[in-house]
Parts: sequence; C-alpha cells; structure tokens
Amino acid sequence: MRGALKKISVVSVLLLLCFIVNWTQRTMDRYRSIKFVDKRVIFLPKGEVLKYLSMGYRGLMGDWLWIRSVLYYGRRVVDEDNPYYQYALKKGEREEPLVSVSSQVSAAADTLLQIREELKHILYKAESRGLVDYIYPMLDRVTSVDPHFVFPYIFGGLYVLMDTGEVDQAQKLLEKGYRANPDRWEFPFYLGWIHWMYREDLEKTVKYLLEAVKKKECPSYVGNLLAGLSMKLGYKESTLLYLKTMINSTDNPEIRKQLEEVLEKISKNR
Amino acid sequence: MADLAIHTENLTKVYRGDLGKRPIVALDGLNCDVERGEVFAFIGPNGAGKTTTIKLLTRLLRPTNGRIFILGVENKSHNSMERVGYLPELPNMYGYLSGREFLDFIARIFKLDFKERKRRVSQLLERVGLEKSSDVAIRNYSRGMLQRLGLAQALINDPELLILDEPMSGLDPIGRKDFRDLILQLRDQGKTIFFSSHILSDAEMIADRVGILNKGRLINIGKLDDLTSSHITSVDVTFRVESDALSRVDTKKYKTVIRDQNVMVRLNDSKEVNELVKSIERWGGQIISVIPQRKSLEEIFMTEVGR
Amino acid sequence: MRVCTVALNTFKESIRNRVLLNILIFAVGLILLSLVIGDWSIYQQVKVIKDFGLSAMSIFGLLIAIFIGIRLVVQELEQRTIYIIASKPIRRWEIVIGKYLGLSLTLAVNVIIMTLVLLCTNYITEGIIDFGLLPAVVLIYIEILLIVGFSLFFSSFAAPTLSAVLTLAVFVIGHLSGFLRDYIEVYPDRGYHWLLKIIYYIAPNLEALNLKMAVVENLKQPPHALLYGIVYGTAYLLVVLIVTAAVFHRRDLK
Repeated sequence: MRGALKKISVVSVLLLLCFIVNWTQRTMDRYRSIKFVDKRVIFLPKGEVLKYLSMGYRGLMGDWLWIRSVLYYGRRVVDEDNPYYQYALKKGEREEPLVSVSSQVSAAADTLLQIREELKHILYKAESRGLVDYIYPMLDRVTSVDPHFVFPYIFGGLYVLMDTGEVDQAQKLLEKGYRANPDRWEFPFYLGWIHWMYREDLEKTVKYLLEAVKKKECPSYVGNLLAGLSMKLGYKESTLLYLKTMINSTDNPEIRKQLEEVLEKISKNR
Repeated sequence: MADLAIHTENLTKVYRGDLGKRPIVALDGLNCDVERGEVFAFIGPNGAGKTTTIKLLTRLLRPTNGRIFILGVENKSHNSMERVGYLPELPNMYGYLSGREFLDFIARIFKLDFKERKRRVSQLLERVGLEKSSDVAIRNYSRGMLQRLGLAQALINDPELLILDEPMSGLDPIGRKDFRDLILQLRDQGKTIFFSSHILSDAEMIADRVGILNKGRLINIGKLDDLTSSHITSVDVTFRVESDALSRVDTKKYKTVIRDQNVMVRLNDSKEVNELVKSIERWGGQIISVIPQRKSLEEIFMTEVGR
Repeated sequence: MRVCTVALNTFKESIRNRVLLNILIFAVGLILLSLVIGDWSIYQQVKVIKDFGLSAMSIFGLLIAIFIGIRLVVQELEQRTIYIIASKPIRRWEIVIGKYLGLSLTLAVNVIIMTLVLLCTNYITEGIIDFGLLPAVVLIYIEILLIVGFSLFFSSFAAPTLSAVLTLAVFVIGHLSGFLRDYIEVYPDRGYHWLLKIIYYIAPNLEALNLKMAVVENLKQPPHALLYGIVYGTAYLLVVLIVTAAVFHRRDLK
C-alpha cells in the first residue's frame, strides 16, 4: 500500500502544479493591456540597420516585419470600438444616400467629385490609439529592408491612409516606393490619387497619371481616368501635347501602343 | 641499410611548452636499428617516449630533428608506409561501419582490387577470430574485439614490417596467448615485428631484441639473452643422494634445502658450479638440474630505470 | 582514387548520421510551415513561401556547416580514429579533401531534396513550377560549401567551440561586407580607408552569393550574376581548401 500511496501523491502534486501554471497564465493574460504593445517599434532598430542585421536574409526579415504589421493592424482596426467598423456593419442596413458635406459643390459636379466628399466623411483618425505611431514606422522598416516588396507601400499609402487620414506619411511612403521601383505603375497612380483626393492639386494629379500611363502593365482604367479628368477639368490640350511628346520619345512598342490608345480616347471625347 | 627494417639517426622530438613553461623533450637523440625478420620489443615506463617514437615512425608526428628510415627508405613520403602495418594503442575505428566494411575501406586505401580485397578481408577476419561479428557495427565492439580488428587492419596489406603499440593491452589471457602465437607465426613468415609494451613478461616471452627507453633516451639495447645473462643472480643446483650419503653433504659450505633424498643448493656465484658438481660426484649423488636464475627483465628494468 | 574512397566513406557516414536527418526534417518542415504563415500575410503568400523556402535551405546549410563540418575533423582526432588512416600510404590532403567532398555530396543530395519540396509548395500556391528560383539555389549551395570549407579550416587547428564561433564570425562578416563597402563610399576618407578596403577584399563577400531577394521578386540583376557568383565562390573555396590541406599536412597528430 505504501508504494501506491506514494505514486498517487506524486501524481496529484504534478497535476496541482500544472493547474497552478495554467491558472496564473490565464490570470496574467486577462490583465495584459494593449497599450503596452503600442510603443514596441521603438525597440526595433532603424530600417537601414535591420537591413544589415538580417545577414543576407532580407526577404525573410521583410516578410516577418510585414506579417507583424499586418497582424497588429488587423487586431487594432477590426475592433469593436472603431467607428469605421461600425459604419461598415451598418452599411448593409442604410437606405438613404450619404449626405454630402459640401453641398455647395455645383450640381454639374462630376460623380467623381461627389464620391470624394462622401469618402472624406467616413474617414476616421485613429491617432489616439497609437496605430499611426506603430504602423508607419513599421512599414518604413519593411520597405527599407526589402525595397522591392511593393505591397507594403500600397498598404501604407492607401489602406492605412483611408483608415487614419495621415496624408503626409502616406505620401512619403509612396514617394519612397516610387524612387525604389521607378518602373511600377502603381506608385504614380496612387500618388495621383492622393494629390487629387487629399491635396486637391489637380496639376500634380495629371502629372502623376501621365507618368503612370507610361509604365509597363498599366491597366487601361488609368488611361480612362486620365482622359476623363483632363477633359472635365480643361487640361485636355496640354495632356494631348504631353502624350504626343511621350509617344515620340519612347522606343518600346508596347508602351507606345498604350499611349496611343489613351491619346485616342482623349481625342474622341470632345 | 636496406637490410634494416627500421633505422633512426638522432631522432629528436621537442614540444613547445605551454605559456611560460619550458619546452618538453619527448625524445632525445634516439639511434635505434631494427633488423629485418626479428621481433623487437621497445620497453619503458609510462611517459618514456615509446608512443612518441612509434608515432614518429608512422608519420603521425614530424621529428624536430633527425631522420627515420623505414625498410631502407626515408619516411618523408606517404609511400614509405606501403609495406608497413601499424596498430595504435587502444585502437578506435569508425563506429558507423561494420568490421568488414572497415577492413574493406582500408583495403581500398591500399588500392587492392575487388577480388583481392574480398579474399584478404575474409581471411583476416577469420584469422583474428571475428568472422561472427564481421557485420556488427564497430561501435558495439568490445575492447578485445577492437584490438583484434586493429590487428586485422594492420595486416591487410601483408606488410613486411609490423609496428604495434601496446598490442596486448585490453586482452584476456587467452587473447594474449593467441596474440603471442600470431606474432611468432608472422616472424616465421619473415616479417619484422616492432612493438612497445610495459608488460615485461610478454616481451620476455617473444622478443629477440629489447630496447629500454626512459625519459626520451635509449638507455639499453641488445639481445634479450645478452641483457639477462649479464645479470645472473644465482644458480640453483638440484641433486639426489642415497639416504645414507646425506650426511656427506657439506651443509656448512652451501645453503641447502633437503627434502627426502633431494637436495637443492643455491649458489650465489656461477663460478662455483663446477666445484659443486665435482663435490656431488664425490658424494655419489645424481645431478637432477642446474638452473641459472637470471634477473628477470623486470628486475633489470627497475635497476636501469631507477638509475 | 584514394580521395574518392575517403569521400564515399564520409558520405556513408553522413547518411547514417541521425543529426543530419533531423536537421533535414526540420528544414523541410519549415518549408511546409511557410504554407501556413503565408496565409497571414495578405495576398503575399507566394512571396512568403519562396522567402521561407530559400532561407530554410540556407539556414540548414549553415547548421550543417557548424555541427557536422567541424565534427568532420575534430571527431577523428578526439576519438583517435585518425591514427589508423593517417599512417596508411595516403597523403594528408587526400584525407581532409576526401572528407570535404563526401560532405559536399551529402549536402548536394539534401539541397536537391529541399529544392523539390520548395518547388512543390510553390506549385501548390502559385500553380507553376518556378525555375527562376534555381539560380538562387545554386548560389545557396555554393555559399554552404564555402562556410563548410571555413569550418573545416578552423577545426584543423582550433578546438571545436572556438571553430564554431569563428565560422559564425565569418558568416556574419561575409554578410556585413556590403555595409563595409557602403560605409567606404558614403563617408569621406578618414585616414583608415585602406584598412577597411583590405578587410573588404579579404573577407568572403557572401552577399555576392545571395540571389534570394532578387529571385523572389524577379528583380533585374546585373548580367551574369549567377556566373560571377559561381566563379567567385568556387575560387574563394579553393583558396580555403588549399590552405586547410596545408595546415593539416603539417599538423602533429598527438
């Protein structure tokens, strides 16, 4: 009997200890505050340092930082207190159209202009949550480590922008991406978007869109947009001139074809 | 010189000391010749330099000074080891191979062709008594099996010269007897055997010549008989007398031990033997034996080394 | 040839070595794990899988270099199995180079296995077999060979722990050489540029053997990046091996 008693007591002590370990872990988890997580990025070295720190595994390091950013962002944004989330939930139930904030815009205002106002209405600044302080530095690191990883630039320049309204940082990020990847159409396109939507600088918008149209694999809707904008806003003549010069200066037959298509669209829409 | 299996001239090995310590002289000017066809025992206390010498002979170490000739060729090139077999002390071999695989590997190093390899490997495994364990992984071998496999690999190239470092260590008495027999067999085949040992009785039993090493120096070298005969300590003479003649034995002059009719006398000087023999004749006794008690190699060893 | 005998024997040893098998399973596991992790990275699954796969292969090689490459010579000396073989009619360099070749063969087999796994996981997600990954794989293999060469070199005269540390140091310096080069370019001459330049050219430039990023993102590479990488890596490797053989030749096997 002595042997059995010993075995039972050893096993029960083990079980008790396991329970204690589990219970304390759960208790500690309950009291963990998200706030402490916010300032994490301060402890990460700068992008340039991380670049060398990764010892040749830059792609992997970039991916890891990216995944961290995404997980953090997802956790913070898709969150019950976020009004944007509430709006998205309610959107299904809404019947009347959104009231335009600047109703002084002329009735002949384009659909595009109207949508711009509506979009502004639903922007939500999440600064107080520390989202911006974390996400933009993180994206900056991701892109320093892996400058040709395109999606983070667009994520920061577009999606985060729409959630937080941080135009300056978004623009900076897109410009950085454009410098590192001058052959991609996405960057001038989204920069054009920013200048149109937030900066209301139509000259720059057209300039960027013109650059976007030149790039490889640029989708046709960019050309359409350029055509529509330049016509509506009276930039048609200068746009045509620009396009003609570009067509003459390029040797690449694909790009030339793209440009000629856009030229045709603009010329046709008198 | 070609008739010498081993010839060293002023062989010296000095090790750099550790930081701040003096350099260590492991071997100091060794001049040693081993003739072809003989069994040469290299004895000495631990740390005398026996293993160092052997490693110098087998190109594991480079001499600080001096030259070494193996079978007439200076051992600067790896080719000088072609006709040599070497068994290190407490040999260890690749645990992940079986005994057979290991011997085959060594045979390949000697560039033996497929048929020859197969033949020799099987033959040697049988000769050292390892046929049953030939496919067992070496990591599972006992000490005795390792020793035997070690000897097998030393013989794989049918060498003219065998260099063995403490070959009997780790063997039980039967193993040692087998080993001794094997060495004598090899000697009869015309091979030269050079071995080191600190078990003097083994050396006594099989060596033709002996070299005594101490603190890196060769302090004595010569035929076993010569070494020991110069150290005859006493002579035991045993003879038999008729019981009535017992009283005639001069017990005052000689130390005697008497049992029944057998008398044993221990003489301290071999010169007295002839005189005693004459006396025995006078007493009417029959000589049974005359045995000179030589100093054993061990005693010689102790004296030499103690000096 | 005797070198081949030793090489095949070493190959046999690695095959029967459980450590190698475990590390291989670990690497393959990592590659498969990337399928899961890729899911977390919004639309970037393909990139993550490729990054993970190539990195797993590279890290695997590093682990092998440190754990097994060093053991190659050190184990022979510690377990005293070297005495029997070194006393045979075989040149010292044949022993050490033979072992190296045996390990290289093992590594080649392992890299091929991992490449196949990577191509499969890539096929599962992207739907095509991306042969564009192969240049990076080739240079990863050469980088591994170079690191193994270094670990062999260090272990031929230093203790195992020190050899491991030195090999790791070589790996770090090799990947930081780009930093050194940038530093020299960006900052004005501070009087010790010549020293930095010497270090830069002597240290193995492992970034020259790194096409991982380039291959995953289909970047424009300088012409013949693969060819130059192969030539650089192989030439440097031969230097290391020759020096190792020389060191081992003179070494006393106490």
